[in-house]
Amino acid sequence: MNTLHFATSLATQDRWGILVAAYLFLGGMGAAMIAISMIIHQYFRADRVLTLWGTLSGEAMLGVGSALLLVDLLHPTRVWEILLPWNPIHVPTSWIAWGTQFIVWAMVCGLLYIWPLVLEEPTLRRIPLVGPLVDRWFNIPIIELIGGIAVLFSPILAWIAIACGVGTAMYTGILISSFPGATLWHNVLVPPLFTVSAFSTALAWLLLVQHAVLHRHDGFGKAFERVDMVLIGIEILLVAGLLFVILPSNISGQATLHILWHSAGWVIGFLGLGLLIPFLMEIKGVSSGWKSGFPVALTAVLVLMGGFLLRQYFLSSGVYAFQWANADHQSLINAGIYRILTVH
Amino acid sequence: MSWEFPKMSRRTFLKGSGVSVVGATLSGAKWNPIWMKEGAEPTNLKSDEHFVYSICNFCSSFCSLRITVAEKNGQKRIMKLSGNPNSTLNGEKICARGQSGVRQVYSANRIKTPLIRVEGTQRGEMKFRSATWDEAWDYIARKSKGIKPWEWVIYGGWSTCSFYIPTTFAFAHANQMPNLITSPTQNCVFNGHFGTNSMTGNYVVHGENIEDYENSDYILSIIGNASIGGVSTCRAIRYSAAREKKVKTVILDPRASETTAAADEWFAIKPGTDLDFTLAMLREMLNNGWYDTDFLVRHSNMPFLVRKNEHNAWALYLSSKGEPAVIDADSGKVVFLPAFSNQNTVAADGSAVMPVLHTPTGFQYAGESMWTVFDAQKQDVQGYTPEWAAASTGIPAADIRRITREFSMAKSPILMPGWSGARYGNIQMLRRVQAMIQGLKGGFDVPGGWIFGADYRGGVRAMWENKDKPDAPPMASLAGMPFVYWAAKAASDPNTHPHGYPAWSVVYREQTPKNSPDWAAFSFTTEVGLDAVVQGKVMWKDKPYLCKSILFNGTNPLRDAPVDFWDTVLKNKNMELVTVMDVMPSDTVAYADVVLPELTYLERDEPLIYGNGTNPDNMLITRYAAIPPLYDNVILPDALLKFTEIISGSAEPYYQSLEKLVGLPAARLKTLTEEYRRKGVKNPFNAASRQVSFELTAQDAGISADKLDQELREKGVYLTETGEELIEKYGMPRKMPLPTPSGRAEFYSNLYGKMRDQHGLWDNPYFSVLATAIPTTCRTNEKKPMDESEFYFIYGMAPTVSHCSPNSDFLTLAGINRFRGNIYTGLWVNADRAKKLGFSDGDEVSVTNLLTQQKSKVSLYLTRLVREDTVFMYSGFGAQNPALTNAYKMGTALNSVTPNFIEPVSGGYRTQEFTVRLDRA
Amino acid sequence: MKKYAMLINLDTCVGCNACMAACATENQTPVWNPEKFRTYVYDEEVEVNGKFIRQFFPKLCNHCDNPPCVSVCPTGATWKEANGIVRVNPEICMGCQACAMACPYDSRYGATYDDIKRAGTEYGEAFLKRDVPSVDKCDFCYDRLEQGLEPACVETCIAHARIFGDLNDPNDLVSKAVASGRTQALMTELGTGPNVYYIHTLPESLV
Ligand SMILES: Nc1nc2c(c(=O)[nH]1)N[C@H]1C(S)=C(S)[C@@H](COP(=O)(O)OP(=O)(O)OC[C@H]3O[C@@H](n4cnc5c(=O)[nH]c(N)nc54)[C@H](O)[C@@H]3O)O[C@H]1N2
Ligand SMILES: Nc1nc2c(c(=O)[nH]1)N[C@H]1C(S)=C(S)[C@@H](COP(=O)(O)OP(=O)(O)OC[C@H]3O[C@@H](n4cnc5c(=O)[nH]c(N)nc54)[C@H](O)[C@@H]3O)O[C@H]1N2
Ligand code: SF4
Ligand code: SF4
Ligand code: SF4
Ligand code: SF4
Ligand code: SF4
Ligand SMILES: [Mo]
Repeated sequence: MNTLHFATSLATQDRWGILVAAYLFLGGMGAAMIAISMIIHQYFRADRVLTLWGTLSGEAMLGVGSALLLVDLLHPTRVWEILLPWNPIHVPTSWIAWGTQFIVWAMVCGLLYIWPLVLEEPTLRRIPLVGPLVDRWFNIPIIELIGGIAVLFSPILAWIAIACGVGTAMYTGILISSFPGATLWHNVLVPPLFTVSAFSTALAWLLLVQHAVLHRHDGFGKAFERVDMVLIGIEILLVAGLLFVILPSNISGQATLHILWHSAGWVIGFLGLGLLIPFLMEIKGVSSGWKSGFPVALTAVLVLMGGFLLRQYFLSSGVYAFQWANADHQSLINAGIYRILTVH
Repeated sequence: MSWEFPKMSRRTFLKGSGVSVVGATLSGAKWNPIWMKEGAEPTNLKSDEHFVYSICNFCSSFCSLRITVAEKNGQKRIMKLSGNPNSTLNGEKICARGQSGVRQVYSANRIKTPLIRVEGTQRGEMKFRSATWDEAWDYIARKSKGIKPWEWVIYGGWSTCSFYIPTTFAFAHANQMPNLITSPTQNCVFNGHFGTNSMTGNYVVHGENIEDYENSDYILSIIGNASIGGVSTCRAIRYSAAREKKVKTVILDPRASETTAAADEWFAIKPGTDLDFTLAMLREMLNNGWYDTDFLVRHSNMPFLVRKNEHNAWALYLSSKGEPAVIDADSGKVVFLPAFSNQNTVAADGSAVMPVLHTPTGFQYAGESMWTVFDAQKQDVQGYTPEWAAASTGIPAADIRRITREFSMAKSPILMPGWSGARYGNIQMLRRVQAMIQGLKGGFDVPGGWIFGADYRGGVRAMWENKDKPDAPPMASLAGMPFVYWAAKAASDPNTHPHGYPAWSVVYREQTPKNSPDWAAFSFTTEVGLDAVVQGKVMWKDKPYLCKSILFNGTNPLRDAPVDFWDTVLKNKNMELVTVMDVMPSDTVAYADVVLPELTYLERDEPLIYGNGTNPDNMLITRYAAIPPLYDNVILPDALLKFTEIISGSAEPYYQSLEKLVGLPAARLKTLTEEYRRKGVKNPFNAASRQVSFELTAQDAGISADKLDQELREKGVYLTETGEELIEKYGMPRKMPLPTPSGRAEFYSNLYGKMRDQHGLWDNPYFSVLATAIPTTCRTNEKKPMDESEFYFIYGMAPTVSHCSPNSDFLTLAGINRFRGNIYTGLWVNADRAKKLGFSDGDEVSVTNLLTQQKSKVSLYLTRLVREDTVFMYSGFGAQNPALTNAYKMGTALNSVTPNFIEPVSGGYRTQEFTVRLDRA
Repeated sequence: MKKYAMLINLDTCVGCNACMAACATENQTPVWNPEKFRTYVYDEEVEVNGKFIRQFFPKLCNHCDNPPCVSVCPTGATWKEANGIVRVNPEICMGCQACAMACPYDSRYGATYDDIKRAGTEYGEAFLKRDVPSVDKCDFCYDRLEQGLEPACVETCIAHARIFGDLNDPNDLVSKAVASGRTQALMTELGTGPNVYYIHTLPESLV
């Protein structure tokens, strides 16, 4: 007979904070955006401007996101190790290793893919002050040569970028789900949820670009809205599955639920404003259309906000269920979960 | 008038006793020290590392150390401290404080140079300037001019008690200073051990008892924790060995202590009522015949005849030669026994006797009714039924009966004798009764019982061996209570010094009415009366007996007695010079005029060789400096030598006193000191003392000093005899008399009897010769129900802090303390009670001592691990000196709540005899 | 080949923290931050059958057989050796702390630049065992094992509560205890395969 009694206590982490949440958000969205841009350019004849907007903002998001992560590292200069292309071979189980390669290659191939488009884009050469400089660089033979080669390989580049973009979007979820300590993280719904959310936010961004920057109301806008509506629908199902099926299954999940249901940022911010309202608005937009571009742009902003809040709450509400108290006395008493005895 | 110690001139001790072996057999049980690794010596040290052996300096457990020192680019650095696997005291184990000692050496907060208080500032302000040693000594010389020897107080802490008694006593003697205070006497051992030791006669700071837990089969601990789980390593490892063997352990403690966490049963007894519990135990055992008759008959004074004297108090019936009387079992006749012996089966006239324990009914002798001590005690405890004890202790009578039965039925039970005692007035009686209960089972110097430390046993042996040499140096030839009597006599006798002043504590006692709460019969080396002295209220030969200078060494009393007390004493205008010798900027340092930094224990060679403290085995130990000194700091012996030069004009008296009292040859000491000084050795006197100590000890051990030095350098310990061998030959009292006045285990206490007689305290229970009840009075009106917000207050030591010492500032310990948070630094309040008061965990509340109105702020720790009517706090926190950057204001200082009321026997503090009120801050 | 494991006897631990102090000194951990010890002894209050007891609970890295910390590490700075010890190489670690997130036992902490700088003053610049920032955790005192010594916390454990052993040696105390089926490891349901075992019998008076 085993008389070992373990008390369980619960704790959230504070290692990965807002910077990592921003990284996961920007990374997923940026990578998805590169993938979408490649697809619409290769197969749906998206024009140069839309493609450049999509790809370059995707590149920027990946760049900024990665930079944020770098800041968060204890020893940032060591990062070169994971940039080496063969790194995943040494650490095949590490999703960060794979994810880094996805990011790198999505960025590289995306950039190469749009290289010729960049060279062609006159607005770039007209930017005040730097325009003349850009003009001169773009005429450097090697730059032009790269552009030429890129055209030759454009389908391959597109496919690598798409694969890596999707990979990156998925990886952000798989990474989180490889942390077994918390039920919120360690379950099969997380990778699809993060992937769907990445694409949904990327589409939202593109919608925003379409409506707020380019002021276009073409077929792409409609298509983005439709797809986004479907994605958000799926996201709602995934979130519901998580909230109603997975989290209630054990104490870590229950504690997460407790936190989430008591957080206005999650309930109002994410579920309400970031998910349900945009879903309803997109249903309306898709079925009966809007009179102006403003509701579409607003919806897009809400989706983006929701995307960030999802990551932020994911990181901050994953609850480790430690056997024996790790958290401080006060928070245990306050949480009303002190002295829970489980007999194994 | 002055304290007169019982007449036990060394010559009378052993008369007629011999160290005969009658009947007592020791089962040959082997110690099984599981903490010792069989043949394990796997020390492939890294190439740039080596070991140095030494002794820990953070409590009186005296643990042996093995120090790992690394050397790089000619720089030496202490990497780690471990226990010394060669030592059977603590093996390779040391506690958290011991581990963290290296942080003292490298602490940025360490005092690095002498400090002199800035002109124009007040003591306590902590405004100092760095000074050179010459400046510091000049300053002391200037300030001490005109201060008379008796106006000095030498104040040492536990380390003085444990290591430097010879060094310090000789210093005081040399400079004709009668006033010596050692803080542990008052706040620690004296109050508790005095009781225990009245029964066994043994007295040495914490070394007299080492409980053989691992061979015991039942352990009962009463008011004890730090001595095991809190932690005294040498005891804790033995206790754990017992736990591994599933020995039943029962703890009485109003809160769940560390020891409780590793025990089978915990009784949250009502504070201050433990004596009642033990009295009920005593009654049950006596009534049910649960005792070792053979032991009592042969080795205790239980069979001695007593009668009621003219004051209706129990008194031994003695012959004109002071011999006790017993009734012989065979003849039924009264027979006189030698006044001093370890056994009762040979009469004074040499004939054989077998005393009886029980007096025949209506027994009369010489026209008086008489009883054996046994019967007298039995009569006296009849009122103390388990039901009676249950009412006060809150422990059900059935449990008291059961525990007593289990304890009595055990083969070798241990009633943990308890350690620090300054809590209640009745602690001495409690510890006496505990010793009696242990004695009823014959549990002294037997496997699984109380074992006496080998070093100490050696002292007792030497005392008996020197009994016919009246000129033997007393500090080398007296041990146990006889040493205490000698020292107390020296302090209280006006003729000890040519100036004719006894210690002021004696004068103060004489001036204080016996029924006053400030009176204590045996206030030896305590601060009782110091405030009155400083204020000029104590008169000697019609002149105020003043105290003008205090030298503190290795002690932090500012966190011990209430701050007000020290503030008044140290800021008094009569106080001309306050010197503090320390390593860290303790709270006491803040009150100094001049601060003398000592080298840390890891940077110094020790002046003497010691026995291995609380170890049944006799092992010689000493300290070796692990690294060269980091700063130009002093070592105690050289500082005291310098003080002697200043105060007495030359060092000569110090050398002479060391020879006379300790037996160190003065001439040799002097020559060596000069030699070392010429060689440019810093602290040459320390080096000389050490060399002489090596020479003398080696001679005793029958080896050369070089060989001893080599052994100690290589192993850290030198084993001379094992505990088993020693007990076989010198077990007390079976083989060798105890250092009690009668040589026997004294159920009838001659010590308390002597005090009672001397002061005529016939019906004062504190001075009762037999066990008796003494109530604890925490409240002015005990009958009045307690308010919702009123609580009893208790405290105990935290495993990570020594007493009130600045080692809470050592980084590692500070880190652990922060991790434990309010458990360590808060006030434990029962969660249910707190809820009723509307308090939550972590609340800041104010706590008021309802007897003294001392007030303080605490942070609450809500828990179910403390009685509903009691709050608990760990002592050792709340440092107020900002120079302790890591410990400053962490937690609350215990002495901001506790009072310094004293008990009337030895002036020990009653630090828990009050209640507190909790209010919203 | 050895397979190292630790057994912790919850019955004898007295919560003295000697292990924490020994570990901190041996491994020069950033003790100025109470959240950066390699091992902790939790001080808990537990209710059993309506009675409350104090229970100490030492925790450290479990040197898992299937360590999630290792599988997430992108640099290979953390790995599991054949002898069972999960280690971190500070020279490779970039400090992303994914391993710390992945560890379900909270066994890892990050040593920052500031920590390393402070360590220089506290432990001696020339004597530092680690001089770059990285994630850090218990390594069963790898260096000591190499020297034939027991882990620092085990060596000093006042209560013989921490017992170190080799699971591949059937005569080893730890192996025997584990084989007896009376030991238990933490959160085995996660599939981590922890190698720190606990043994405990509650006081008879409570069961
Ligand atoms: N508030 C409170 N008071 C108590 C107790 C308690 O628990 N709480 N316990 C009581 C007991 S049982 C005892 S034994 C006494 C002990 O009381 P003390 O003997 O006064 O012990 P500590 O408070 O540890 O103070 C020791 C001082 O010595 C200094 N020191 C450390 N190493 C050295 C050194 O090498 N050389 C010199 N010169 N100084 C050094 C420390 O920095 C510290 O200031 O306290 C008693 N009083
Ligand atoms: N960590 C640490 N360990 C030490 C020391 C140290 O300074 N620090 N110092 C050493 C020295 S010099 C000494 S004297 C010893 C002291 O060792 P102990 O005498 O064991 O000292 P305390 O820790 O004060 O333990 C007293 C216990 O008694 C409990 N208690 C308080 N009031 C009552 C009461 O009325 N009834 C009962 N039954 N229990 C009560 C407290 O809750 C506490 O758990 O420790 C030694 N070991
Ligand atoms: S018990 Fe701890 S503090 Fe006391 S001597 Fe031993 S190691 Fe040092
Ligand atoms: S050293 Fe041992 S007894 Fe002390 S806290 Fe650590 S595990 Fe427990
Ligand atoms: S306990 Fe945590 S750090 Fe240790 S091996 Fe397991 S997962 Fe890794
Ligand atoms: S912090 Fe270091 S050891 Fe941990 S996962 Fe990142 S690189 Fe690996
Ligand atoms: S094995 Fe070593 S590193 Fe691990 S907790 Fe123990 S002392 Fe620390
Ligand atoms: Mo003490």
